[in-house]
Amino acid sequence: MSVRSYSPLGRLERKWGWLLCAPFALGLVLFSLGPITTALGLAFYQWDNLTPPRFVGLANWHQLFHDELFWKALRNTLFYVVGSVPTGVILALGLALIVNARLPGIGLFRTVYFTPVVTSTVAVALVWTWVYDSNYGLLNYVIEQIGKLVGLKIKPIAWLNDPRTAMPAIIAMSVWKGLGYNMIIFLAALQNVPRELYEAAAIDGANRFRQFWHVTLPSISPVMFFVVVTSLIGAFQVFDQVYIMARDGRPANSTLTLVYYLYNHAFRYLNMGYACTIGMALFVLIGAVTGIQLVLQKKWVHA
Amino acid sequence: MKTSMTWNKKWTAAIVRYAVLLIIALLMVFPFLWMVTTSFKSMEEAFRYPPSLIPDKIHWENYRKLLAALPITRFFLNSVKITTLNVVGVLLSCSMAAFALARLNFPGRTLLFAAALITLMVPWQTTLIPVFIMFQKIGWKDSHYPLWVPAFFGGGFAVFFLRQFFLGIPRDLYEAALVDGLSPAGILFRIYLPLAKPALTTLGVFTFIASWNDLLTPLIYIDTLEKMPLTAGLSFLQGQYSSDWPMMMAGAVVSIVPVLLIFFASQRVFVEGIATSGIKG
Amino acid sequence: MREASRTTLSVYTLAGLIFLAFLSGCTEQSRESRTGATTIRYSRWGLPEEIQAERELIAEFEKTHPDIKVVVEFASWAEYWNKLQAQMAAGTAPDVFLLNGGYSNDYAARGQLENLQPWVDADTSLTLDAYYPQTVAIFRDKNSLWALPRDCNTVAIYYNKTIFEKRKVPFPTPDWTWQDFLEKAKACTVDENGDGRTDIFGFNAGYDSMEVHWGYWIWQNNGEILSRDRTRCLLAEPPAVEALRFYSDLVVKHKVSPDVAQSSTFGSNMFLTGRLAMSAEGSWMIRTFREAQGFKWAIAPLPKGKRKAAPVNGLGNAMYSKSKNKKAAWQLLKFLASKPYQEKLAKSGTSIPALREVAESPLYLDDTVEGKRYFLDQLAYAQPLDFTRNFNKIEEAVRLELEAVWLGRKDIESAARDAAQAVDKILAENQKSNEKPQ
Repeated sequence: MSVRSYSPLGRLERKWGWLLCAPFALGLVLFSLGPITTALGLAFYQWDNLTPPRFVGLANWHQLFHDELFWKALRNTLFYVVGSVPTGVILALGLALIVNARLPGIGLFRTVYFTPVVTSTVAVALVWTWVYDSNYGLLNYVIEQIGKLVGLKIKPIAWLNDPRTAMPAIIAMSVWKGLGYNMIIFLAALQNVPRELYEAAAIDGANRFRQFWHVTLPSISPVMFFVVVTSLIGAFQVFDQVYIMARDGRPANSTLTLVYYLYNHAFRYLNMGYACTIGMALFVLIGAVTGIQLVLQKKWVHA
Repeated sequence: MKTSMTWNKKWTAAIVRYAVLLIIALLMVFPFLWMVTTSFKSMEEAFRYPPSLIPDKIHWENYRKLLAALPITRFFLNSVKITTLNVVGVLLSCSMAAFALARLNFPGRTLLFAAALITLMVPWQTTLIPVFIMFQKIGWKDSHYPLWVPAFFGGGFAVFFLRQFFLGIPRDLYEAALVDGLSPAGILFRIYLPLAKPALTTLGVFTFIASWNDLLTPLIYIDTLEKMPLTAGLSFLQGQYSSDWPMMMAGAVVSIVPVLLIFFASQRVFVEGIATSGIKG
Repeated sequence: MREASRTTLSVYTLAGLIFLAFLSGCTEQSRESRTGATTIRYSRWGLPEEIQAERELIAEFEKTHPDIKVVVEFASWAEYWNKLQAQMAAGTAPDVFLLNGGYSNDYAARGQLENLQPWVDADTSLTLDAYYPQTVAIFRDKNSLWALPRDCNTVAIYYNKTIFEKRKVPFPTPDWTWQDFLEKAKACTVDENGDGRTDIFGFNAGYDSMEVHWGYWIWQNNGEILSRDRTRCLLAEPPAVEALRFYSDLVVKHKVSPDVAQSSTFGSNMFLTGRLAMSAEGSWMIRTFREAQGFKWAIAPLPKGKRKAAPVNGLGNAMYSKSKNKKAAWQLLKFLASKPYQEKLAKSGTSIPALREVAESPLYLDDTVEGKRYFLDQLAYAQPLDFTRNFNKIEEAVRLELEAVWLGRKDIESAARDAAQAVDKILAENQKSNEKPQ
């Protein structure tokens, strides 16, 4: 502890630190500590939700190591993360820059861009399944028309029916659905960049691009950090999109993700202990990735 | 001469911008459009494939049937209550914690931040039953309490979110205010919160949406139909074997309208423009 | 001045919120039980239109049983099983709840269900013979009975009469065979506008469900899915493989069925919009298909293979083993299986009442649906699915293999072999946990 903490300021900050954090800390203890420790601990038990759990030590882990489906789900999930997070973050930032303008009616556009986030998942699933349909789908139709223009005859792509294209299709839909969310976060951050910084840079002769690179990006870097970390955490835990578009990881388990696999074990196969084992493995993975982010942030985040 | 040239340039720039905005808008809005138009279709028409956009005939009775089938007004009021409490709870408890984590120096600060992140990294499927058992033991059966009381005790996502925004507000403001004799709480409420209006609004909207659209928690914790909030109550329209799609879409429309209204209204905060740093001279 | 009004505003808001919260607390406690009455909880899933009818029936029950009060917990199908399991984990499941064959074995094996056989034996007012035997068999396990029958369902072929007439194909007869079926399906599959895409399909061959899609073809060919003692999977045996080949050829060879994605998302709906000539659906689909516009439809029994076979599935009401009001719960269980309740069930048309006399009456058999009679006729020889523990896992394992065939990535022989292997593993695990002391 620094010398500071014994000074009147130090005491002031200590007292207020604890006071202001009290509800949050209490909440963590009451609502999170117990359940999370239980969930992690159950990784070493066998539990069917109904009868008392049975301690099995490392048996679940042994099973996990040899579980082909687990590794497949892991690969699928990694593919999903790599495919959806960079694209999603960059596109969201782009969208935020576009709507960060004082044009009349811009509020309406922002609301429209936000609708995918809140549109009923049933509606989204149905419409996108049609978009991806091999025979009548919108996407294949567009591709066919473009092909005709260029003079090529393109065969219809199976999209959701082909294990090679199913996951990319879901990634695209997923990114589309989440854009509005991150867009708003970036918008809030952009709005908080002090005007004086831009004026100073303009006086120094910086053009729009350099202003963006040297003023905007550093100023929003704490929020960028937030968006990247939360997007990663969310992507590793992807569940809903698969649940609505590709029930049970079809086709051929190419869209089976870790959390979906976990869900099956937890509630359909009455194998909660093993589900918690998967959960813990996932937790460690996400923790490692987040930890790396936290270490790296010193290099690029201005706080 | 010069003025008319720059005037033309401005017009073309504006047209290009609106064109781009419009194209993106079309890409984003088509499922929503389908949802709205389907709520006016007959059941047979709703299943048509490829899907039709414009209904043959406007079937207003889908909405009438919806109101008759379920206690929609009741659901709506429940949602309003639960969601308002959630938003207030989160904004209050998390802004306090986020400020402390961002600006104050005290033992346990790193631990709390780490804990906030950790709560985000555990999939809900693994904690659902332990949390459920805990609430049942307290005696909160068939009640709204599990749906909003935890909001007053902070949340990892919101704390992390606000912390990052508070970090973006210059430290000098904090130190200057200390010199002026304000307590940290005073600084939070008088200086930081007003400056973080876009962030607070965003968090408020997100919390609103998460609470309004929450399906799982109400279905698990509430047993009596009339106590259900709107989105959970509407899920009753989805049957085991088949669903009345037009009516379901009508429900989805009813459910989404308040969300979009709130979102649109909140945009005024953003239009206010770019904040100033607040440092004079 | 501004500061003061802002503080007052916040104080009032806070007070208002506390008041709101207090109000909500009040409504929680307003649920009082009548003095002396036992309160039991009864949970079921269903559609909103069934809520009112259910409440009325329960009110009648309470009138004839003034010392029992029933709290009906109408649940959404979306989360019914997750919620029930969570409640069981917490020890607070409802006293009476709706149950299906798929989960009954799993719950019974883990001691969550009350064995009703002793109750039935002790109570002379209830005879199990009055019900279709399969509906009782679903919930029977050696000498235990885990639920009282409520309703049953079977699968038959719904066909689009208008398409048949247009294509000049004769309607199915009650004794039609696999060959007849295939010919009719082929004759009805057509590309109407010549754009290279099929517009009307003859039949929707799904692969998700043992009950609705692939199970009965195997039985009709004298094959079996699981051995009688549930220790082996017999899908790789010649009769089963032959049946599965006939079924998968519908998609792979004859192309009378839509592709995987269309089938899984839109399956039944395709019949509703007149794009399917025939569809194998459960008896519960009558309600949905009533909404069909622009064409006439009727019901035919499943075609005959080497013999006639059909599936039967049913729901029952079970009692929670940890219920604190078992006697009252038993009264409710009897009521749910009794004539007044079954009659209401018949009128709603969602499923076939388990009570024979009600099913055979005009309450269920109405004239507006042609061929509804065939459902009951099939019940004479219909058999329950091979329910056992981890049934969901078994169905999933087979689904995966069939999907590969549907996608053209595997042939049916290897798929059947691999499926049988996977299922054997699951059955072996079941055996192991049967032997372990609990």
